[in-house]
Amino acid sequence: MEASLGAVLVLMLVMMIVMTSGLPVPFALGGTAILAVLVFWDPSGFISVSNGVWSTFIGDSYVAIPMFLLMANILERTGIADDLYEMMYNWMSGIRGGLAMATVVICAIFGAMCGGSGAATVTMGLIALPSMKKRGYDEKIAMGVILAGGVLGIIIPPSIPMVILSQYSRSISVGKLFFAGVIPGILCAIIYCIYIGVRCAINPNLCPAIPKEERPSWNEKVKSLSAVIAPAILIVAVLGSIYMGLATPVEAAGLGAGCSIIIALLRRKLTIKILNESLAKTLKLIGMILWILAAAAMLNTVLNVMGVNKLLQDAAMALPGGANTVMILMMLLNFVLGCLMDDYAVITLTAPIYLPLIEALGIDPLWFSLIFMLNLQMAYLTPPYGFNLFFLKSIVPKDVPVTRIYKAAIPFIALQLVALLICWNFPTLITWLPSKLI
Amino acid sequence: MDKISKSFVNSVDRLSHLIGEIGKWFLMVMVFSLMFEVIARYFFKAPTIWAADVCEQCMILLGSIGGAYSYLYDQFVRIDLLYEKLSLRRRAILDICTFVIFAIFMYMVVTTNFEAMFTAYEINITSPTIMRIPYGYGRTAVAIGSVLLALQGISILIKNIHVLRYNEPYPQLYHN
Amino acid sequence: GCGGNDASDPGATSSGETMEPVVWKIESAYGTGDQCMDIQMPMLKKVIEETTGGLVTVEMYEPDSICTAADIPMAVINGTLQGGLSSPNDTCAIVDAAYSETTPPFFFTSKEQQYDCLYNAGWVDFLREAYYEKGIIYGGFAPQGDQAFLSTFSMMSIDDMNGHVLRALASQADFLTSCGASTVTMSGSDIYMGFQLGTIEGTLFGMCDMYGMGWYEVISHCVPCVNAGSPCNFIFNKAAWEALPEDMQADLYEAIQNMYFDLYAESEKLQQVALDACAEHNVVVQDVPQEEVARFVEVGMELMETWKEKYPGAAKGFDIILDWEKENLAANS
Ligand code: NA
Ligand code: NA
Repeated sequence: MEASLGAVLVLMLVMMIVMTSGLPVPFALGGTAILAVLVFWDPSGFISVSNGVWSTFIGDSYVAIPMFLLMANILERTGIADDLYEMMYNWMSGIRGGLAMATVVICAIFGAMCGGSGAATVTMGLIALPSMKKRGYDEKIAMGVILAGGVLGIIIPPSIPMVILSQYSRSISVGKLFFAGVIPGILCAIIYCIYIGVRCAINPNLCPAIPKEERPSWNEKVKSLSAVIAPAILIVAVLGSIYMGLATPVEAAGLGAGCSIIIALLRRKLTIKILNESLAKTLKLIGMILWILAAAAMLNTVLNVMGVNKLLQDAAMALPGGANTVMILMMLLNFVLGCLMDDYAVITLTAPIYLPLIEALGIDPLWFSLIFMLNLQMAYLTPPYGFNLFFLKSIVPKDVPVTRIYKAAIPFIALQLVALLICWNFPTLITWLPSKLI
Repeated sequence: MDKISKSFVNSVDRLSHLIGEIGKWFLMVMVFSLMFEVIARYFFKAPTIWAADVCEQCMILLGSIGGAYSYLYDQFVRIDLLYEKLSLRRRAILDICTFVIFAIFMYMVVTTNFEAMFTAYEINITSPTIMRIPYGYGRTAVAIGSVLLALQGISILIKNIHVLRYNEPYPQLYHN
Repeated sequence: GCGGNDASDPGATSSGETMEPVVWKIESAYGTGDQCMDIQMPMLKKVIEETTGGLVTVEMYEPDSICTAADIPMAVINGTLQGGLSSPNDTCAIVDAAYSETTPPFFFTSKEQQYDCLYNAGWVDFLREAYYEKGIIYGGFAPQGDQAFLSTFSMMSIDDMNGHVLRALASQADFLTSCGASTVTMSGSDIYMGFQLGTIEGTLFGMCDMYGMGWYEVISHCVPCVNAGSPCNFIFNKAAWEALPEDMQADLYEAIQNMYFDLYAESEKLQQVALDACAEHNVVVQDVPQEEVARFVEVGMELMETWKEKYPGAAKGFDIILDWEKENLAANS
């Protein structure tokens, strides 16, 4: 049965109401799918329920997701971050704002090792935040830099949201998407550092340099450089193995997880308890993610049968301003959704609708995917619902109210928007590296 | 009545926890398979014929087992825009209301997955790979996993009814 | 029952009874930009709608819109779809016989040979019977033009494959391994980058796919060979098909068979574009010498003998191909 635009809007409204009432996302998506089957299809459509679950569970590219999650969960506990921070402290604490910039750099390095944003935010929140506070850093900058730095992990490859996004278009290769994220990720990190530098230049008291007599000796500085060895090994294991043609992106994820376990072993940080906890945490996350993806697959099927894609495509083509208007509308909608829901929900809801439209409009899907990711970055920081806000809230002292964390995020959301606009206007920042891979 | 529901909640929670504790080790199987595959192919020019299949089967188990395990530990993401601001009791009322949607959804998930499982055995569906692993087993895991998730939902419903009646948090067996 | 709900199908009408017009949902295994969606689906739609005199209206669906490409055979069985353009690489999960559809390279050297083996030597009859047992109507073969061996090294003989890493679908892995190559599984969308980075050095794929995915930019050699790898076929839901009057069913079978050369011709047009792209990007298009072709055939025949035991459901199909090949070899010598 063909659906009208109005019917689709009503359906979406029902879904949003169900979601805001606190029902977990997968059940809200799945419940909406079943309602839609009843209204717009016929009982034969219910087979899409078991199809959705099965095809999600056996999706071979999804194998990378639990591997990246496990890698991050183990890395959090290896003490690599402590060593990196000590090194950065030795080298950069003498500079005004140096510790904040160091945090950005460490987050970027963590981003190159993990597929998500949690590991960097949590570890930096535990290590860098107290250290910056002790040195008299402005709390808003200190927290903001950890919030924004953590999300670099989804832009800088590898990236779990990219793995999921790539599933919604046959023309996007996960590997290419990974490499497309390198320059925008570094760009974000540079923008954060410039911001810190400028703020410090204007008001030196915000992020004071430590006094000369407290600065570490050259000997200490050089010795601490060994901290980069473990991250270097891990980055070679994951990105290097893809780049050198040793492994497919899926296999690289497995290598990364395996190497992080081996490194934890060598550093004598791997107890049975830690392995147990890391595995349990990974299973909890992957269990949740797979059920969201399965429910989203069901809803997606019904929307396709309803002809929603065609409907929206026609609507998009009729818009004045063409492709640009469509892109702007998509980005605005994603920003709003990103305030309300988590990254997986945003991707699974919008990507299957956006990507065919983008291809129909003749926009480069690789470029679009990265713009999509840069937008998604903000979702981790925008209240009321932002993963990194929650991560940070869970580790700061109890007397820090959540509103102070929100306020710390705002300037960095603006900086992320700046990065998005730069990449929008200079597409080569995204497409150059993947086109040069030989 | 209280006693029955309490022992139901405890058994379901224990079951979800136990199966999850076993199931999480399949992650290590995946790590091993993927590493082995790369090493075997690149250094010994002898790729396995089983690594991809093993990972596929592990993913099926992770999804089947992980659902209930994750829900037990309240890890299923929700949009808590309003939800967070509500009192314990109001939240319980809301959860009890939305349970209807959960129930309809899980009913469809369980029944269609069981149908798919029977079909898989009936016409002997296998993986399209050299290993030809019968998909009936995987489909069985998914069907059982769906039941576990449904049971976990009922367990959470009972906990919410407890909250509604006594206006106090349910004494959880497992905490995050 | 097969676990599906057939409520979408019209009440089964025996032949002769008047039947209400119906809609068939048909999904393709490959999407826009691929000939499956661009050439074969529209042609199938036209043939069905004309042959049934408007009784059946076809709705065409992109892959992953109602189910994933791998799930098309299942969706056809349980009636979620009334038809599909499916790859035997997926169908073989349900129908053993589908293994016989993916022949090793160089068994056929022309479209006429392939047609002869399919429709005159009884291959299609065998497939119809085997598919029917699992609840699927095998409508007919969907030629996609030539398949090709695409690589970053020169591939003039079996020996050249030795030690190279090739991307393979399950059913091809056996053959490539027995030629001394290493195989790797990766998703189709990663093949381009796999070639670029050296993760893979070759693969068996359709010429037109090669063009559509832009692989001519990253490969250096291309060896066209008829039907090596995985061509597609047209499959239909049993209840939906049998609801048609019997004479109409027979007409449809015939119409799909008659489409064979038209489809091939369309593919050849696209193939020419692909060859032009190869020339433009300095991809060497080469022919394997006759005596090397013979060696490929020999390895393929040996392998098929072992496959007869491994996939008993496809044994009869392998026999048909092997007998046809032996006759062909005898006629040529
Ligand atoms: Na990352
Ligand atoms: Na947000």
